[in-house]
Amino acid sequence: MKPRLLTSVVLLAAGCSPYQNWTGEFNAGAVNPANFPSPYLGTGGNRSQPGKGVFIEIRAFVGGAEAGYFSFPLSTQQSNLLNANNAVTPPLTHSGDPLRLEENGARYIVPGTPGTVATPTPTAYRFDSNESCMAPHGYMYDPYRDDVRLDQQYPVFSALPNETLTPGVPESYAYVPIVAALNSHAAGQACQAFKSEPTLLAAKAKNQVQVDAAAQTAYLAWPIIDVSAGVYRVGQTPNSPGNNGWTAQRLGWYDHYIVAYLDGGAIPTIGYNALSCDPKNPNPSPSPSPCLEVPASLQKPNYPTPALPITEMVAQNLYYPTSAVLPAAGKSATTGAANQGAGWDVLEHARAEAGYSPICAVYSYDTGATAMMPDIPQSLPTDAATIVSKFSKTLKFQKFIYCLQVL
Amino acid sequence: MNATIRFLCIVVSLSIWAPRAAYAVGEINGRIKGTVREQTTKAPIANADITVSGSALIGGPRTSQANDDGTFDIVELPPGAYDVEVSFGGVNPVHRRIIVRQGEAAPLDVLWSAVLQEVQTYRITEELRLIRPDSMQSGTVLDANAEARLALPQRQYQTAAVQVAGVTDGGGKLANGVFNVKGANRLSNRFLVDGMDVTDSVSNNFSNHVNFDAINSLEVLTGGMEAQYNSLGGVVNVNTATGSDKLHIDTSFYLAPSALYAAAQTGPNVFDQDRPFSMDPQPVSQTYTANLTVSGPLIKGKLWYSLSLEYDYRQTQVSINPPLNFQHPAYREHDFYPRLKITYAPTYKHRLTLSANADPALRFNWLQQGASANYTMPNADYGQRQGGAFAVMQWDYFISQKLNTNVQAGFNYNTVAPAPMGVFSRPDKLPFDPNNPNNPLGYTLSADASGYNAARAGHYNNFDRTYWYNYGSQFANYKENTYTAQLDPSVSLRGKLWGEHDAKFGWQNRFVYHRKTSEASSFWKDGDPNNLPGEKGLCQADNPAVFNDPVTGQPIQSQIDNCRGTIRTDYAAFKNHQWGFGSGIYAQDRWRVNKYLMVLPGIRFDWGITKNSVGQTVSNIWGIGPRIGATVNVTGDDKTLFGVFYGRANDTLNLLAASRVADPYVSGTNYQWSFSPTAVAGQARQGLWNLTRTTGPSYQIDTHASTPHADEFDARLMRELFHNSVAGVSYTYKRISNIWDQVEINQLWDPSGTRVIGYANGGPPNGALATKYLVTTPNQNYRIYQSIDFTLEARPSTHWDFYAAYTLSWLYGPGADELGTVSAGTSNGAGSPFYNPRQTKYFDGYLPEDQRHALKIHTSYEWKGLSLGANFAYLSGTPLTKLYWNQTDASYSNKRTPMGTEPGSAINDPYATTNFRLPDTIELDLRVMYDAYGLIHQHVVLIADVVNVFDALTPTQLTVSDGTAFGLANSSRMLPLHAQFALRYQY
Repeated sequence: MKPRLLTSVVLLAAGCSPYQNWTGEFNAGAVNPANFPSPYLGTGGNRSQPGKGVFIEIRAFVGGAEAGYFSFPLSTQQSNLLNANNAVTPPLTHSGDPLRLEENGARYIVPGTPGTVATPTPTAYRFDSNESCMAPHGYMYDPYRDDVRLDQQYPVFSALPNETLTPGVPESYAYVPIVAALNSHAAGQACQAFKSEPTLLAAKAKNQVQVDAAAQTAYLAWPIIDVSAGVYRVGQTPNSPGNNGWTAQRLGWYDHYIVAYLDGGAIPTIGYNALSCDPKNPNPSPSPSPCLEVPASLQKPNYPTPALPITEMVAQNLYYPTSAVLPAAGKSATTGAANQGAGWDVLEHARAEAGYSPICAVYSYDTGATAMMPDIPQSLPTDAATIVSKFSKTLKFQKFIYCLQVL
Repeated sequence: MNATIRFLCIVVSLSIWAPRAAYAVGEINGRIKGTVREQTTKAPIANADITVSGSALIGGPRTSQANDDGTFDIVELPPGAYDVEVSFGGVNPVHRRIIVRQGEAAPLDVLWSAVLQEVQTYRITEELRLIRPDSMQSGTVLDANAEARLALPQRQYQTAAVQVAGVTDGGGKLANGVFNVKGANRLSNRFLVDGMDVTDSVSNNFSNHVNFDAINSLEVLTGGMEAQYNSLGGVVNVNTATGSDKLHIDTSFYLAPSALYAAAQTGPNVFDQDRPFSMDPQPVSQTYTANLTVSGPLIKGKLWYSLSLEYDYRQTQVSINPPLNFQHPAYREHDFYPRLKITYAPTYKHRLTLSANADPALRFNWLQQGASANYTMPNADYGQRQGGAFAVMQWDYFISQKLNTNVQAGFNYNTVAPAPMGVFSRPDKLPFDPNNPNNPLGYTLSADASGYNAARAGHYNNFDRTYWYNYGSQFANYKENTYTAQLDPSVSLRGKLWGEHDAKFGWQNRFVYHRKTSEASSFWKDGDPNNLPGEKGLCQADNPAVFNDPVTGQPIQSQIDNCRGTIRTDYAAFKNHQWGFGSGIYAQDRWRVNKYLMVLPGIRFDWGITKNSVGQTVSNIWGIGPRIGATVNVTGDDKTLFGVFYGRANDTLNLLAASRVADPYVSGTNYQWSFSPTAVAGQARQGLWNLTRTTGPSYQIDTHASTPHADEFDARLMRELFHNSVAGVSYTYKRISNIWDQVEINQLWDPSGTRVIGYANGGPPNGALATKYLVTTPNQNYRIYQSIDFTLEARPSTHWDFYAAYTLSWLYGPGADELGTVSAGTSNGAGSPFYNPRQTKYFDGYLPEDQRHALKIHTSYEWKGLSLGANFAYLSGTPLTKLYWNQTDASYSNKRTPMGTEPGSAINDPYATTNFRLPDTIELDLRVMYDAYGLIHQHVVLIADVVNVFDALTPTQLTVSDGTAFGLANSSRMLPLHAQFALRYQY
């Protein structure tokens, strides 16, 4: 008899198991962020020292009011898809390969790399908070004792941010902070009874849980971040009294592990039929790249009828000044890309507005100020309309980012 | 009968609800329990005359008469060989020789006949009936003669104890000296020398060393203990040599120079062995020992003495490995063990014994022998002055054949005074020499040209976890003193009431006092924001020569960067003391109901109180410890025994808890450095130290703490296979409950348990972090042990000595720690399930001392002065747990998988979690010894030892913290193959 088997037999005979916390739908604790891409560890993050990174909300303005957003970069794959042809003249709707989700009814594949989905959107099962689950009798949430609330059912994720690190090779990853959310209904079930996708699907098969069809899928900006990293809102700083860094995090499950995420809201999408760049082959599949796909509303007369259905995410605009700005007395003015995220960014739409998107096309504008005659922050515009009207000729597309306004 | 059972049931029931201490009186004598029967009819012979004499028995022969049923007891016999004469009216005396071992009854069955015609002669065949019909105690006695034939990695009673079944060395090797007995943690053992309880009242480890050659016998009890013992773990009961009516001189010299050690520069991986082409010098490992024992009579038959002195010198060094990659100076140790024992018997009814012992020692470069060796710079190491002395007096009064008394009174004093190495001598600067080929990274001591500054704060670099400058919390002037006084009177009664009784009643009292003094010191944890290895990442804010530009006097930017985030812990000077008093009464009976059944009822009541410096009562607890055992003489001839036992031991006197809540000055206060541009230019600490964490007076005492206790159930089957040879199999279930621990009750952790995000009971007004501990005995702090032991003990002739034991055991439960002293956490208790509630779930699984398989064999054979001894052990690896970063504590102290496991390569797949253990170890030590008495009529003994015959360089520690060094065996391995030679002269 093998030692392990013998151990099991004897312990079973004794009616005890040394791993009693690790059976059934157990709570395995927080997920290990060691393989997270660095943006999801936070600024100053260290793979072997979770909790070192911090996420600091960037001060911005929307319609003249102060706001804030959390910024994440495109994935390496998405960045590689971005090229000059994708940058369109503002303030038009922005579309291009980095934002493409589906093509011809299937996931958009990175050109030249069969099987590689450009923007993976793994499933997340979110539960309706109005359909109450069953908390343990007499349960009262105790923040000292409880790592998760036992009177709620957290969403269940099916994938983690992940990358394979190779020493000496620049960081490269495919993870994007987007999930395809499926509404799930588990009324009457014990709270937090579902901590993993397999268990959830098994319960679905037994009709204990209802999961809405994929038709109701919504794309959500839910970046999974290091659970132990501090998240600070505008005006907060790490190490200052009263700011503990536990602010906007929400909790979920991945394969029994606790994950933290930020809720950046729904991502609007647009569907249209694309044109081919090749007149001899008007409907190639997949569409060749680089090539500009034009939304139906912008098609020119006499062009062939588009036949390639496309689904893309819609971005909103974010503006920042590249001209010189004087940040504080006694300091040199800053210019260029250094000004992005410095507190003078302007977003097109607030979270509550219909045009809100957690994806931003970042444009720079130039007020004409110089290092000798810099702007002061109070003189900078704080709404998108002013920027477009006053500095439209200086607007220059820079990049796409994820710009999550978190409630 | 029914009333007795009812009483026991009530006691057992009550004890379940009882709260719960640990001390014991040492049983240093043995007894002969015999029967005289008629040779032909096998009928018992009443009133037969019994005379017992032996060289170990002062005061002359002991006489007695057999009872009506032919039985007789000769009690309180010092261990040794005895001649027993049995006669009836002086007719036809029968002579037998029997070995009496401490703490045991030597069974003797004498067949006498009135019609014997032949001339009686001494039967020189010694009887050593290893079967124990009147005891359920497990363990064995290691006597000096047998031990002298074995090569032991270290000649200490503590390490010898590891030879016994059920004793587990946490380090997975034979020579650690810190061990666990049947599942209890290492703080649970009791160490007794000549009856004196020398267990340290705070550390709960042994507090005194003893000259090994002066040990007469060593009883190791692992379970099933009688009521006179109160130990949650095991009992190591040392009986030192006494004088006799003849002058004896015993002197020896043991030499194990470094030249007799095999190569030991090993690679860092578990599978690495020695480096055959290494140009590095071999690590120095050597020991030298000198002994002298003189014993004899001052007044023949009445007053004996035994005087001895041992001196040991030992050096060890581990091989060069990452992260520092240079050879740390060797650990050095000087030990002196003087001892005096006086035995006085004014009449045959009285025996007085005084035993006094001391063990002053000096130890240098302490960290070199442990896990920190390759992480610690020489100027960060520390040394220690330590030692103490004890004296214990025993008075045995043999009032009658049925009644005798014993009184033990003793006093013990100990001190430890660790200090940075510079206090003792300047540390070795060779590693800093840029021309030293063993300094490949070119380390230099930029801080201090002399290479050392005793007052300099300790530095810890949390990037590569190296220690620079004065290590950890070792203070420049730090001292701990412990004092113990004990008084243990007892009465033994023998008589008949529904069978035969051999009962003992005792009262045990122990007073303990502990004092700690320290001068101020500080310890820095480098934030190391730039992730720079070694000294490059250290904050040098206390060192203007480095911190400031020599030309401008302004701080250097890179130095400012190094200091950002650095956490400094300041320890204020303090003095504190704690004391405790414990008292216990016990009753133990050995009730032979009839020929086939022996019942062993016992009970004890213990109470203890401890107080701290500020007069608070830290514990005031009591416990009832019932013991009930029975042995069944299955075949009626005392050759096949089956026995069962249940017992509870209570720990009512534990000064460790009191020392934890001693006063508010013990813990440090943390400050984090930030740059201050407005500070005066040129100032060394051009920055601000912001208070970030106070850990001072935040202790609460649980005035209703339950008593720590251990419940044990044993079942045993023994069979005498052949002459003086016994095989046994036993099963043990043991649960150690309500272990002391500190429960952190204030911090609110994030869901990962990595960062504190708030406070349950409010933080300090300045926003600093604060911990508050409730010192208590949680119901959830328990350990469960199950084992099956197979043993074979044999001494078929005086030439042979054989002991073999195989133990299959499981140890599990959450009780990995006891007040931050047992587990591999930090002093804040991070190794405990009660420090961080988010971590509690990981504290199930196999405990760090769980050793699945242990095979121990020691045997020796002697023939005409030539003896060969072998000491073999196969020990399966003990569990480890991978540790991860804790941001608030700035240390690797969090778990992500249960104890005894690590996540494997798929770090976020809970089903990929794998067992994580140290490698198994195999060790074989051989001794060849020749006594030239046959040639020159003098006991000149030549000894040659070969230790670790297989040259196994198996790691005994691994790096368990997450990071590039994870899993490396760069700190501690078994000592390589080496030899030792000795010369011993006995007169």
